[in-house]
Amino acid sequence: MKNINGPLKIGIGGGIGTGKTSLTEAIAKNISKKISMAVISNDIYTTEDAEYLMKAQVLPIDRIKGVETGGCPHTAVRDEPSINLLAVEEMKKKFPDLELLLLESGGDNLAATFSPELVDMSIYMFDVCMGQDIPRKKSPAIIKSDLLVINKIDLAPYVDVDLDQMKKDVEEARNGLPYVFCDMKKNIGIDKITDFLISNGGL
Amino acid sequence: MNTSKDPLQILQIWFSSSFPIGSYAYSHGLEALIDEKKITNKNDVEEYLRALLFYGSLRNDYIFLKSIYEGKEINNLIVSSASSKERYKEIIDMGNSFSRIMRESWDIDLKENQSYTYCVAKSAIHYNIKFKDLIKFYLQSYISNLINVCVKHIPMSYIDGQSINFIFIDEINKFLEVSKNLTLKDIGTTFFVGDMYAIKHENLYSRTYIT
Repeated sequence: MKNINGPLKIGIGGGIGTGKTSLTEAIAKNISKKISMAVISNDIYTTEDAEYLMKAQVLPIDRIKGVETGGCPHTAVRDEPSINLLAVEEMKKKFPDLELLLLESGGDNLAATFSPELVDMSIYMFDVCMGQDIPRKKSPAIIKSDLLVINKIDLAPYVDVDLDQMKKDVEEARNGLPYVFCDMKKNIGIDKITDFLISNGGL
Repeated sequence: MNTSKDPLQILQIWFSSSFPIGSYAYSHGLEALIDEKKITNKNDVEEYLRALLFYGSLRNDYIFLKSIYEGKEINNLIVSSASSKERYKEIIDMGNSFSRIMRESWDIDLKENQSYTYCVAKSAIHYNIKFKDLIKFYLQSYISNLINVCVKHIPMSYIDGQSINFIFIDEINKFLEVSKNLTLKDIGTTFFVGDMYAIKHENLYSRTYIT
């Protein structure tokens, strides 16, 4: 499904601290050598995240753009994405060969989804520390995202989460759509995410 | 010129906060003023908005809009009157979002990289909207957006916010009355606090708004 009109645009949504920037870093580490990619982050109220990615040597700083959203993360990626659309156009002009553009949303809640005008596919993240009942609630983000990523599985025993039960709940909530349980810190599950981008995103 | 559509319906669409030109993301320097506690309550907000209208960029916008209605081609002048790098970005970005909608969803072909003020005036003339209607919608929606920034960022109660909006119905009419003889040679601002803080905003460490 290669987008002949420009880069494949992937939205990454998820609560604060679930690992959106870590996921961006992991994807960039795995594939930025092979393809031309850039990141637009709605999470950067400061330049810290952009500088972190640069220092981690995963992306040069001119390939990372922060967008201030006036404190309206859902508005900026779903209801009224005009400021993000301008950022997309800017990146496309700056890097005409761009093949992959990751759009990281601001830390948001389980009702988050992306405008189809802004992204081609979306990934939603939550982590096991947010609680056992997250997938059972079947929110729009859990049900509708193209890939669901559940991070920090190593912490399950410390926060009283029954991982087997959570897997059953996720399976039911996704109703056939893909999901990955992972541990970003130990690099567990990252391959499945990049495989998904390459096969389903047509990279 | 397209005369078949009701101007008031068009204005309602263009100046609704849900019209997708990103107006929720620009604070016009207010974020820097609020962060330094120069603006902390309803009275401060009212004072800021009155200065912006009578002495700041809104006064200029009034002159620009009126001049475009008189047939003057002044986009470059409008762009060069932006008081800071971010204010320049604000008028160009909003102009690009507005003109894209006009091109792709409506039926007027506007070029890219023109100021929002210019794009709005050109479109209003195209749809046969009277200047006296356009200017009221333009100013009131600008005031409304900035009140919304204050409600969210100070924070201030929406009851206070809406009482300021109510006051500005008359303030805008007063402004229009005292400003009716202004022309392009009156362009300029004496709202120094607003302009300086719009510049100061560029170097804020932690930012929620683009301007």
